[in-house]
Amino acid sequence: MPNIHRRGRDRNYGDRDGRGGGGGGGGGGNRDREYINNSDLGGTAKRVWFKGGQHHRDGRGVGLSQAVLQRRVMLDDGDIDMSGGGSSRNNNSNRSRGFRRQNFNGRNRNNNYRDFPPPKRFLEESFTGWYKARVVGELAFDKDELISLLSRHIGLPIIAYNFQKVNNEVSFYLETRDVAEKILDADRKITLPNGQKMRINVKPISCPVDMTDELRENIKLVMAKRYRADTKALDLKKFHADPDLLAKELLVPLMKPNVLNAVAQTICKNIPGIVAIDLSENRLSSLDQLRPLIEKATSLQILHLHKNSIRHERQLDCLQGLGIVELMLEDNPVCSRLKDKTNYVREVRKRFPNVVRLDNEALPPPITFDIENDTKLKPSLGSYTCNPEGALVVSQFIELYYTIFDSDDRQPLINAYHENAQFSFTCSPGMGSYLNDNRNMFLIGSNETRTKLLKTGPSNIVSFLNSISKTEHDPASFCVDLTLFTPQLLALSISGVFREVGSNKKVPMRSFNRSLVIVPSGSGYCIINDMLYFTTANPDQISEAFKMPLPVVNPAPVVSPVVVPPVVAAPTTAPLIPNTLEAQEQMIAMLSLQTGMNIPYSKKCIEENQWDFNRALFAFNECNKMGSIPADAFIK
Amino acid sequence: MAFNDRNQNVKSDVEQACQVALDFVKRYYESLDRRRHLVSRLYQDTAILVWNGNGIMGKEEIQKFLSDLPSCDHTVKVLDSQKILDSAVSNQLAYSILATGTVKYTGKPMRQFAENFIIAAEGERWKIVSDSFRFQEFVSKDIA
Repeated sequence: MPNIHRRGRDRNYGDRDGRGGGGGGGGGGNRDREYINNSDLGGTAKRVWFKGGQHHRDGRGVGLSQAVLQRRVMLDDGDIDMSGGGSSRNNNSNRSRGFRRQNFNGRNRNNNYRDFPPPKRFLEESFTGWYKARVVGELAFDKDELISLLSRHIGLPIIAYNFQKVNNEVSFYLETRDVAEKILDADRKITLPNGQKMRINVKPISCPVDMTDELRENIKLVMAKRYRADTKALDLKKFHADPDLLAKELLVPLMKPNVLNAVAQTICKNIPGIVAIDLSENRLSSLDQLRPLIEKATSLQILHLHKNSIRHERQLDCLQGLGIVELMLEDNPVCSRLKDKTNYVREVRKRFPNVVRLDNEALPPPITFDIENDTKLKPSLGSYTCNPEGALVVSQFIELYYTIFDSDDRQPLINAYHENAQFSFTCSPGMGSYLNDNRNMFLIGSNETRTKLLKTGPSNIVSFLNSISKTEHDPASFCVDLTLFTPQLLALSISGVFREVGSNKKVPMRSFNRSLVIVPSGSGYCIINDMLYFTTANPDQISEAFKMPLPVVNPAPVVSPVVVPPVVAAPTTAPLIPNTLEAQEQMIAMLSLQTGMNIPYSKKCIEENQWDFNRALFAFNECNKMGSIPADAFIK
Repeated sequence: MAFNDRNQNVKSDVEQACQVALDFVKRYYESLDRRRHLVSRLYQDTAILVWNGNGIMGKEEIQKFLSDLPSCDHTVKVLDSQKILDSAVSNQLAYSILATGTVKYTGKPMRQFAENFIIAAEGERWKIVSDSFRFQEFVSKDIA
């Protein structure tokens, strides 16, 4: 019976070179293309085989064109997948059911020749360097037992990544070809306790990684462990083999762009002051994902990239601008490409002019010009304030403003504007319905229209604000720059990210910038000039915004009563009272801001006026004129 | 009548605000991009520049800071401007200007930016009183 299996597995190319290099033999690249080799196998059988499988044989001659060969390799690769499925399906279909995958129907598997010895099977070389092994059988072992069993059998240590066991099937990833090959060769050679043979299939794999927040977090933890704060050095050598990742059965090879991207983002965000990074032994072929480091990791001086798969010096272009002083690049394909050492150094220096140590050898210092071509930009900082006292006013004002702006009703903002306030709106192209109100003066040439698009007075302004989509701003994205703070006025600009809410359509994230001129009014403040600009958020903003968990906010739909304009002598004040604590607090805070009174007095004032904001404000102004408000009210 | 007067005033204010803003950004970015050593002439002696959160006070310091930037090329794509209410600026003529567009620094990828100016008439010259420049980016606040 085992013979049938072997034969089936060997299929039509069991007759080839000593290692059984079938279809794979053609694509293996580094293997001899010796299609007829009698050394191991019975010559008779071989010849019979050739003739027997004629329609397979036709292309197998030495003159086989590369294209045909490649195609065949692909097909055969699919078959390799199947491993034991081939003949057993024909001869004994029950046996192999469930272990069959990606079989190419209609492929003629020659199974008439029962007496072939099992040749070594050929494993196509993986482009990624990764292989996936599947083991099927009644496996009453845990990971360690199974791996050590296999390891003993092949006589090599095995590191199994992302080991998964589902019912009677085990899968894991391997990163060394000789181990992968030997394991494949162990197919049906190990007898399980139940007397059956362990079936094994190994194939090259692209090793996809599904990047989740959880995975990102795990990567971050391992990075934190491997970062040395004293030297500001991050050791990412052979990152995927970190025991912590292995223990969690996580496979995160840095060669995968999304993994390298997550790592780069973590560096930019958490350790921008980094000085050294060791990325050796990660099979990196592209460094594109490290590009953000140019801007953020401005202190980076030492970069180890040796023992990777960097093929061309152009791969380093994306890191141009880093102030690398020490570079390790040896044992990459690019090094054998640039055999001439002068040339090699020149190509490196072209990208990293400051390198003085390359592959552990000192280089003569570069001769430079006295006029530095320094392309470093000062790193961006968060909010700026020209005056600490102003900072408090501004942060309160903006918090309140945006709380209302993001609520269901923007009407209360009417209180935030001066009676002669001006507002105008601009946006970048591609902003859809916003474009109707765009006052961009490069587009709007007529003074008539420019005047029309300038909203003046609180009610015009707020009616415009009410007409645009409901929003949710990310407070963590806000940068508020207070540039002027005088007794007469405050000038500030705000930028940040928001998204539109309330629409079912998936709308892109937006970015905004706002110029505000604010003046004191009464004992509070109000806006006299407001210019608002909307554009689409860029990828940097999209990936960072709305990451901070927002506090759970109760919906506060009842801020609207404050706007009921004149005080109608309502029989009951009930409908006017904001019915959530939050809405009430908002109204109190607004009054406090506008009047300069502290919270308790603002509350008292607003309660005495039956939660009518305008009436409370009016009452305050009247009392203030008469000087009847105690000084206590203004002590915060 | 009073309403019409007012309306007429608003219109001429708008016209002037737009004209000054157009002239201003043209000159400002031209000097910054091509004749940077002269750019501080556009700033008041006590002007303030906030460049991506970095505050720089005074004309001299601003000149020094801007001189140290890599050579650059700005393209303003969106422009808006308003007259600042007389009472807020003691009847001095002053405008708030918002310009956005792209900037390319040598050796850097092109970036979007927004810049907010307040300019005021000083004698017969327009001078920048306050200037705040921001890349369109997410600034991580957890950088110590």
